[in-house]
Amino acid sequence: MDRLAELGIDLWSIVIYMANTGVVLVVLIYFAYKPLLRIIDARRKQIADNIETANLLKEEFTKKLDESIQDKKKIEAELSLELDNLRKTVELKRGEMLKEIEHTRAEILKKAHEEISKSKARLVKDAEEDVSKLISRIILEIVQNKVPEKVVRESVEEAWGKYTKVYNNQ
Amino acid sequence: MFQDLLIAILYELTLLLKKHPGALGNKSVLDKEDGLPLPLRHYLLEIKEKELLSDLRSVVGYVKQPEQSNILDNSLMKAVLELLTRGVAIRMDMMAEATHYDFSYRKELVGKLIKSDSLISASLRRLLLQYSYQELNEGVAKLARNVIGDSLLILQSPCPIDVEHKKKMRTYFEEKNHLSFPIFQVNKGLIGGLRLFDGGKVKDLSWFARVQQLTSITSS
Repeated sequence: MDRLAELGIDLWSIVIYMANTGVVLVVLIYFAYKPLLRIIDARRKQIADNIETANLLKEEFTKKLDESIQDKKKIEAELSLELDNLRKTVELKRGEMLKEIEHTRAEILKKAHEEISKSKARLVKDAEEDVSKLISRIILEIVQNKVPEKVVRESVEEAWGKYTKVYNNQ
Repeated sequence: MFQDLLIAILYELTLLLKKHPGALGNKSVLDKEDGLPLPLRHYLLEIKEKELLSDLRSVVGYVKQPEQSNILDNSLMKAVLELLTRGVAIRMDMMAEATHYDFSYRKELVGKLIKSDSLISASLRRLLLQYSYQELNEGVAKLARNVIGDSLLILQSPCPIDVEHKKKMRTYFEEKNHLSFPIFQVNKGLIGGLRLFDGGKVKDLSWFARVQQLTSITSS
């Protein structure tokens, strides 16, 4: 014990220190360790619950995801079918419209040809009329001013002779 | 236009019938009446008393109110018309030749053309002096339409036709219809030949028509 005293180690101090530590430990255990343990347990439980909820949600989400993927595929298939049908209809309509356009085009061309022919005939007729009028005017211009009076009188007699001859027999 | 003439005719007829009550249908009496034109004498020769009264009534009505009277197929008016178309027409043609002479010359000419002293002749002389050739033609044509419902007979020529040829033409038409009255017109546009309008129909024997025909043939 003297040796321990020489070393500076006091027994009673050690006992007090140990009693102190014990008291601290008791106090800590009673006031800190158990609540802390309770809190940790609660937290652990909460975490476990959360993990479980998360797992459930994950499962549900996965399930929903699968369902939505299935729906999407189904819709895609339907759309694809619709698109095919539409494409076929469009192709059909396009064919019909092309035929109609072709038919209309042919009719328009035919009418245009007819109009052109009519216009041409009209122009030719007008030109002929103009020419014959011009010829008539030229002849009349010459004849009206240049024929001697004696010839005119003779023409009157000749016309009268013709008239009485023709209409006497009627 | 013909009021005076019709009054003169009515007067002469009534005077004659007063002088000779049995003149109707009596050739010997009527042949002696030189003052009465031939168509009127023929009329009196053929007409019956009852028809004569009816005719006279219509003519008097016409003299008073020409626009409101109906003288269609009136025998007396037909005789008047015959007088105008046969005897007077050729004198009208002769007077037409003297259009450019003075009044005294024309009066003398009319006196030579119509010599009788009767009222009818005097009235005819006045007609020839008072009215132009054109007016007389139109007047007679109008009267003809009222009396016989006839349509116009028009002869167009490029130059005036002389009296002799007109006479020939009138005679031709009179043989077909004794009441026909051709109207002569000058149309220089004909150039030569004749154009006739008869009963709504056109008979075109003019050079103008021939030119038109030729040019239409050439164009077709």
